[in-house]
Amino acid sequence: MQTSAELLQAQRLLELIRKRVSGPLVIMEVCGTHTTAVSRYGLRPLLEPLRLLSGPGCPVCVTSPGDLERMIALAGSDAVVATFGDLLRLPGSGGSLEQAQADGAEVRVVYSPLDAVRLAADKRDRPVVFLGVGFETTAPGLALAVKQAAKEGLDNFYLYSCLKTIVPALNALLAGNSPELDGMLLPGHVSCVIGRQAQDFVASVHGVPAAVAGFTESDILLGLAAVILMIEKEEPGVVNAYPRVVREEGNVLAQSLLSEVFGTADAEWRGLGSIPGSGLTLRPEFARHDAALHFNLPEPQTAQEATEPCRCGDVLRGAILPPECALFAGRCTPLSPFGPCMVSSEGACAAYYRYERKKGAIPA
Amino acid sequence: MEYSGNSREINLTLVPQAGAGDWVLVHAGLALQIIEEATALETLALLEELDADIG
Ligand code: SF4
Repeated sequence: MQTSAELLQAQRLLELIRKRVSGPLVIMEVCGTHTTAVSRYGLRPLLEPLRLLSGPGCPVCVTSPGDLERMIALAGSDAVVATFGDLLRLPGSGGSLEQAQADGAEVRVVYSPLDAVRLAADKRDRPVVFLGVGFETTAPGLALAVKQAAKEGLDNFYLYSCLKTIVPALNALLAGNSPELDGMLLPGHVSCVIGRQAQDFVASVHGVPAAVAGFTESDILLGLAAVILMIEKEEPGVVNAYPRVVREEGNVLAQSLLSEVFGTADAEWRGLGSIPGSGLTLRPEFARHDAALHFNLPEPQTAQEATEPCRCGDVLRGAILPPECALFAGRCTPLSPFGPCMVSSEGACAAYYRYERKKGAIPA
Repeated sequence: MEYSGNSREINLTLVPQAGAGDWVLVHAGLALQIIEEATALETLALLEELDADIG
């Protein structure tokens, strides 16, 4: 709930922004939680002619169709599959985890990855596979879980890692330079782990002003105001507008935990394709917990996305807004989703459907 | 650890400096950082740094 002081601050920031923005500026909110918050606070119409585009920062949404297929294959094996709830309804070419569950697969939703380790301790005669989907915010918890399983000698605990890192993705997005961006709002919780300074390249290499922002209305407006002032002064930088939890160097303990347990590999992103060095895979010391090495999984299918009517890939690149997809709110709704962006609580299509459809800003 | 009025077990491995009464940012049961509650004034100071004529 917002206090009246916060509301007052949000109002002041909104006025500042509206006073400064006269022409069309395009700012990408990289993080899916920002997309959802911006829609929930109803900020988009208030900020016009400033345009806010969604980015690739929704971990469930950027999971590649091939990875989803392999996760469903894991659920169809003799393993117990443990996952966060967001993945369940994700539609793939071979159905969803929820359908696999209805067909008899044992799929358990857990609150923390350590719950999956406990499950493995209780079920020593069954393999337990945790489906690891997430960015740097989620990866430390999985690193701890793997270390715990190794310590307890739980050979039946496996991680299927679809973990991704945001810095190579931002680099790829900005180097591709489509769409043309005037500024960026950087993810607050990822930054809490990697730190502000790790993202300096957004301004120093690509010349795009950016701010690390939090998730309340004033947090988001503060981040936007900082970006707009940098655009105006033509002095691109990367500002920390979320100092409550983001430090210059991030959480160093979490970073060393990540490099102790994971190495990097190329990873396939829905919408962005393969990005060098953007995936986290288990180091050889933890190979016996690596599901990718122990299960017979289907080979990645390429070029699958191009034939899909769902345009999540374009949404995740900031190429279109959800209502520009022909299926949005017609054939594709949260009850019968066509793509991950309509399923995930951080998905842009779900956010637009929930908060922006009825307000007349967008034709349904 | 209390979370929105409910008690829950939180892993503090990555923020060993956290003490009783500290607020922490938690993701999937794991504390990632101590929250230092900035006042509205501090936050506005950031903008003033960028822009002299705000307010
Ligand atoms: S509206 Fe549905 S089909 Fe269209 S891009 Fe979003 S998730 Fe995909």
